[in-house]
Amino acid sequence: MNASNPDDPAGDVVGSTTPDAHESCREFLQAATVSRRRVLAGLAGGIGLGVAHSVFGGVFRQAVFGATAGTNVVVVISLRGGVDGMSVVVPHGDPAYETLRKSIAVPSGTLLAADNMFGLHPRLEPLLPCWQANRMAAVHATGLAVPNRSHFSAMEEVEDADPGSSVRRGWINRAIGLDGDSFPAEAVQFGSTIVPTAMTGSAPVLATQSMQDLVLAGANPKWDDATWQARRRTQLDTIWARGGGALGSAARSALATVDQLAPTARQTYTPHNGATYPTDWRGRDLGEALANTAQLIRADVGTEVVAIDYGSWDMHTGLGTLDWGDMQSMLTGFASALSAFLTDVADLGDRVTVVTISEFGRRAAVNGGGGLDHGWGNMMLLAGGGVKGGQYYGTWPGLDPSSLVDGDLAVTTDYRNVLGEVVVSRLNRSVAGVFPGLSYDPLGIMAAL
Amino acid sequence: MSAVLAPAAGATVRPYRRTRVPSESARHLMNRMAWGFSPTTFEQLRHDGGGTAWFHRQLDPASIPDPRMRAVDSWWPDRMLGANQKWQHVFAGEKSAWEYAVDLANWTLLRRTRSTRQLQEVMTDFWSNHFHVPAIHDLAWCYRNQYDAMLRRMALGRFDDLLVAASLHPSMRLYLSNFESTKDAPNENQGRELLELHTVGRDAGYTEDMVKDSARILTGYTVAVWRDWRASYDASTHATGRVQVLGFTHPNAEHDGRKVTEQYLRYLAHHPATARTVATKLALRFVSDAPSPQLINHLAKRFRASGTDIAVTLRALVSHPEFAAARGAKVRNPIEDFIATVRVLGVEAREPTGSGGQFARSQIWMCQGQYPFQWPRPDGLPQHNAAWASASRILNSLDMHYSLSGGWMGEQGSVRYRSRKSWLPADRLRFDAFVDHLCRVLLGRGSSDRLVTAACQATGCRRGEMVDDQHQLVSWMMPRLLTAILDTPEHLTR
Repeated sequence: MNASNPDDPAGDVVGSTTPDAHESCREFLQAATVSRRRVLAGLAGGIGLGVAHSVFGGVFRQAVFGATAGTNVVVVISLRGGVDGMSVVVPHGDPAYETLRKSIAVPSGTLLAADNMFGLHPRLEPLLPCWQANRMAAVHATGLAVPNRSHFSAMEEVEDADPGSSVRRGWINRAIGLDGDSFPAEAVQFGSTIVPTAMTGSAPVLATQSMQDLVLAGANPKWDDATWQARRRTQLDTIWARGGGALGSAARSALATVDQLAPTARQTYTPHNGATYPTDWRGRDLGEALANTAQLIRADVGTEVVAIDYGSWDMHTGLGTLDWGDMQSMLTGFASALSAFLTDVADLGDRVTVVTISEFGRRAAVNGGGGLDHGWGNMMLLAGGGVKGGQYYGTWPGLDPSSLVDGDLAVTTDYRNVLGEVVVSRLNRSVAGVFPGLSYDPLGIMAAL
Repeated sequence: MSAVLAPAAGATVRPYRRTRVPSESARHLMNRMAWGFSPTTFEQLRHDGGGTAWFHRQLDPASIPDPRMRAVDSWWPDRMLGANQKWQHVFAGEKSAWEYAVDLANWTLLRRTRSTRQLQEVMTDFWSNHFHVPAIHDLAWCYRNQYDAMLRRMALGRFDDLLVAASLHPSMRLYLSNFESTKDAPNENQGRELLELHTVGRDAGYTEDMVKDSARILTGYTVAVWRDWRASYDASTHATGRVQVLGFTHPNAEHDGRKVTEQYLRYLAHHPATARTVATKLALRFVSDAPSPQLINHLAKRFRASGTDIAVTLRALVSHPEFAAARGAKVRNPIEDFIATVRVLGVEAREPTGSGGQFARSQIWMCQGQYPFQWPRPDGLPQHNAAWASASRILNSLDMHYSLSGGWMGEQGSVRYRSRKSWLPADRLRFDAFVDHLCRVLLGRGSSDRLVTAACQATGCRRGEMVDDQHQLVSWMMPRLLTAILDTPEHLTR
């Protein structure tokens, strides 16, 4: 195999000083980045040839979990880097909007599902049917109660969601910890093996690049017969059954996860209802993660929360217009992947709900680089089961100088009120348990359970 | 399950003493201040006269001959091409930016694996995280090799010099948007991260106005993007006028703001809060996840008193009792795990030729999704154990151990694995003695009862079974035995 990338659109990048060159370079880099798994798969495929594996169809033991089938699932998509909410859900009715945004203002006439004040970015077009079917909604001017313009500490704060407490435990971990079950697949992150703050805590969780990674080397039914599988498991149990601190817990969790999910992970997933996940660079990573999510939901192992990070929204420069730039391309990827997912799970009724989150919004005014620096107020999108969609929620604080806070959109809805509604209505958890200390004031976005 | 044997009652290990192991403190030094224990580095350490002597020599990398690096450097001859030349190759469709980034990562992995200047490579990585610039950033990539060379050159020097060099480097200007920050439209990106990540930290109490002044001070340092990519200072875009950031005030009246910028950066480098930032990061990386306030104070004090001397601070760290007490307390991240595994298994990448799947060019795919220099945010790779202790990460590590133990990575001729027979230290010996020998080679320590039990279970061998080069263990079960020793807390921690 070749270490250089088989998917590289070599030669696509042409010499130019226009924004298009910038754009194609980014495309180029990203295309290369996301196809690494294919290369890895190629490498792994090649190595098996010299292996003295015996291949028998050994049946691996499968643990029985007390999971409830048919649970509701909340999919949390983190738009990391601080998405500019005003480019996604555009406040075109605010008289200051176009002045502040100058060249990067989204033209009013191009907006989708527009009312007098708001409209959706035209690149969300694949999601329009969902909005029109009243299954998708937006909340504006939401975020942390107090501004925090540091990526890292804002992310911690948003995901920990328990101000004043020094316990390192995220809101998703608290949510899944409130039921009687305890197994890693209750809360799963796809796309990275690093557990995000929202999922950190005492309840076991699973963070994985993909479903396909959930295989135990040396005990793979594809290569290893029942004897070797048993030997491998016994050996690892001897080493990892006790102690080992965080690493020991992870290893035990790994073995439990393999028991529970390896049969699913080994299957090739075919999307349902004619759904087609995007294959171009903009939506591929998110599409893969969401296809994995659909596969996991259909495995019905009791998963209640799936977390996915999508994109790099930290657009200090090159945010762009409708024709070029990072915003339109990221939104294209987002909308195409999410719309495929919603189609894929459409036959599951109202079981699946998607909500977006981001650490902060961005400044009201465009900066010198045609981008936006870190700000405060933001938007959230909700789609799927239980969402009273087709409308914009929240209280618009306005963009006139006296309404801005240090140049930023003010927050009028604590984001925990939005997540609180989702947690109550979809997972039947208490808001006080998941968001301690919040004076709960729901906007009425979600239908009662 | 009949093949799985329970350990005999009262069974003990059978030390294979002819294979030498380092003292615990020497092994600890190699695990922290080198890229993990390895037989080769152990040999170097013995030659230097023990752990302490080795460490002090490592602080002066120029004094250590490193002949094998010349070959490794020559394998990627276009690494150090200028930014504009690299762009020309990209525009001509001859090579992609992504490939340049992959080259840097693979070259770096080989340096870490092989260099005799282990501490320099460790500290280069440390600063690469502290002053993180992703090698795949769509603009910054073109200067990333030069940036890397600067970090390596200054990795054991003085932090104030390093801060100035890193902050003003074209790669950093491109990554954190400073290249287009001007007096008329300042971009706060670098001004903020300079304070938050690179120096004083958020708790230092700077205001939003100070962030803006921080950005204004940095205006003028630009790069001719989409032209010839040359870095320059453009005084006409520098924001003049009084600035205040924490205790730093300056009239900033001149159009040429280079002097005020350097004064500002040196002020930040020597700020007590910066000393705490650096001390805390060093302690997190080299000591434990929960360093004591006393240790942080001690390091911060030495750092400031020495005029931000990195080598002095490292000496203070290594000689502190908390360092010695923290053996095995850190989880290896996937990159560290890969490097340590290659080092102890004696996997030797060969010069890549042609376009095949050479091992040297495929190394990054074995780092389980953590490609060197590709962390997506400016804060660098996480250093706390929890980040690397997840279920899926363990499965990925086990997969990598098994693949390298089997010699299944990389196409024929691109890599040399140890022959299976070469693992045998004698013509014939007991299985438990063989396991002990392997533990000494792979882990730098003798076996434990638990490890021997696991080795029996993994292979179906008995403790007292005699092993020679005709034994099926050697002829085809070695991958299972090697990986059984690597799939342990002893190898996955440092």
